[in-house]
Amino acid sequence: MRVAVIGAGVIGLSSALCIHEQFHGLVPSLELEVYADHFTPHTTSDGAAGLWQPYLSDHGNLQETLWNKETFDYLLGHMHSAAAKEMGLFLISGYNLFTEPVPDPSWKNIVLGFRNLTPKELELFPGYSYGWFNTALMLEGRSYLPWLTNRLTQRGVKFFHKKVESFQELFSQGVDVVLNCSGMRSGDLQPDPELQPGRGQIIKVLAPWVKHFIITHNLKSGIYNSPYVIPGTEFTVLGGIYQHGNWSEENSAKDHKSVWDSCCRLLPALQKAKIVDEWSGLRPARPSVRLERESIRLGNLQAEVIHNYGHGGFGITIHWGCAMAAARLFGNILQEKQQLATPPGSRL
Amino acid sequence: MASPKVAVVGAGVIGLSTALCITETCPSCSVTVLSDQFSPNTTSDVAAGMLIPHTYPDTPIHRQKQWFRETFTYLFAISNSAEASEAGIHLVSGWQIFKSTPNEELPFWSDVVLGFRAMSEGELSKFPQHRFGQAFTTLKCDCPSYLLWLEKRLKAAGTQMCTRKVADLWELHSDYDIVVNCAGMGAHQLVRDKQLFPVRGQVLKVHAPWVKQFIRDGDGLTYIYPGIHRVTLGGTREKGSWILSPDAGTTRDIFDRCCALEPSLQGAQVMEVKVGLRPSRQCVRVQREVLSQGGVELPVVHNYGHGAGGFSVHRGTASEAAHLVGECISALQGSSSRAKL
Repeated sequence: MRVAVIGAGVIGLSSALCIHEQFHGLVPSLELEVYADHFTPHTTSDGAAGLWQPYLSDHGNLQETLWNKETFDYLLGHMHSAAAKEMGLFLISGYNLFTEPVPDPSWKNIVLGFRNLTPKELELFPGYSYGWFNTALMLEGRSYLPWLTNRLTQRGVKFFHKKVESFQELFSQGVDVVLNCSGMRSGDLQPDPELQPGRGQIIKVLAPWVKHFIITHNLKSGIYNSPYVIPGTEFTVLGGIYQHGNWSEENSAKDHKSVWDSCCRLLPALQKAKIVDEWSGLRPARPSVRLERESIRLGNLQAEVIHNYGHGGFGITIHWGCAMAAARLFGNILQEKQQLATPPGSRL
Repeated sequence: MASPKVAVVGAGVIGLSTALCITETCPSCSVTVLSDQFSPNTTSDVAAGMLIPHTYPDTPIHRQKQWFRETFTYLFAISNSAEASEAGIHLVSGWQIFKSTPNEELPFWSDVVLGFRAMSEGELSKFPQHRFGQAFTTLKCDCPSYLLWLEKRLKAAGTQMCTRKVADLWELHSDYDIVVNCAGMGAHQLVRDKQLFPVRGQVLKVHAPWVKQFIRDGDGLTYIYPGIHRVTLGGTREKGSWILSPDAGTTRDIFDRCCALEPSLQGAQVMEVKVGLRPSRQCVRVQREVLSQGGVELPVVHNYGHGAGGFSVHRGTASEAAHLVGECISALQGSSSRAKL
């Protein structure tokens, strides 16, 4: 049973690990391969700051809220292990700021210690009159992806550095199941007008005195189009750009100024921070995550694709819940193909 | 008295902040800081500088709260300004956890720090040996940045810094009108205060930049305080010990206790091991005194004995001491105008 995962970002690697963990013992012939044209540190996941936080509203998409919760709980369970540091996983507290009262988010009971901000705390942020404080998690892609890669390599999963041009290409080589975790470029494999770039630009600075994340919200301009500051292990990420439909991965001077000025207004001490890097990336945005099976007829063969893409700006936040769901879909495929070894004594 | 000459003995956080307050309340004063040690070799440089008050048994609570509140407000404004990183002042959130529920669930300072509340069950589940906890956000004064920033402001205000060991306050009477004693542990010798005793603390300064939250055991013995470049792991509270050199067994013990609370610290590199003697007293001595010897009088303002709580109350005691210096000046001006008659 040959399974090919397309994409080596957080979605591709975690889906691969989840499937291998659950099925390699049950399917002796399981061969897992990862194909990607970009590996860490050049994936979209590497550019993300790594803060676990869903969008403000799940738009009634309870499934995604459950996947977010599953991911948080899974990561929290790893917090107390010595592996946490290697994974790039750590606890972090911080602020979400608004100019008006807003309803509590779907994730208020998932994170730790969620509460409203006190008047004295709001004094720190002139211009904002309402907000939340909570403790969440950081999962830095630049550590997590190598950690996932190591786990996969230890398990004998093979990696191929190539751009897959079509699902057909893999099936004709004898692959049985394809996991499509190609993020922003899924449209190249199968057109999907619902998948659009949500372009972001960030500035990385040295500001080790910043110990909290600060996310501001402008309900009119939309998610992540308002300044945010997210401290990581080595540097702090300044951001606040979300441009729907913009495919450019070039850094824009205008966006740089917008991010820099707005973040320095938010945290005056940042004026003294040294800029070490700048990056633009495309959030693979979609009205909802595409996580589903697709059976493709190829001659007299039925080829199976499991799609797992369109995680927008919350890929890290939702990744493990989606990986588990993808693994369940894979389990269904195995059952249908009668590939799952039946336990002794269960045959009638 | 046109320009009173004030000597401040001691260049830790108490000496420097007191000197600064004096320059602010008495701009006509000429201030000199005298100390055998300056940053990075003071007791303050060893401390993590967390604003979590220590309770002094014999100082009225309202006075301690006033000192803390004043200090917190002062540093809060700096943390929110462009100077924050240079001054080494930053906000930090975290948890204080207890193995058994404390008698006082609400400490006197709970409404001064930010967002003080009891920890949720979910948060406590991270610490199976602890049954109760408090979550809050407070400030940290990162040394040596903070002391260097105070020195810079003092120099800009015309304050002289002088490296000199003062063995007796009377040494200063011919050159200075008023002496301010911020000698910390040095007051034991300097003014022979037998009520002052060391409480030895050993700490590790480690490289662990992924630790963004503080964790403190309510017993005060184990704590993890993330600073700008280093995380301070502690500690010990050895009453009466004067030993300034680190102990290897203690280092191991501190590291193990901290890793039990935060396992990711296993991967942390220990960069320095330091020892400080907390200049401890049943109450902080913020007090005027007039020394007299052979018909000569020397006004003295004491500001020492802050023990484990120096950073937490430094600005409050500094401004009180500066106020007492003002009283000394008035008294001197009063007596000098009487002398002119």
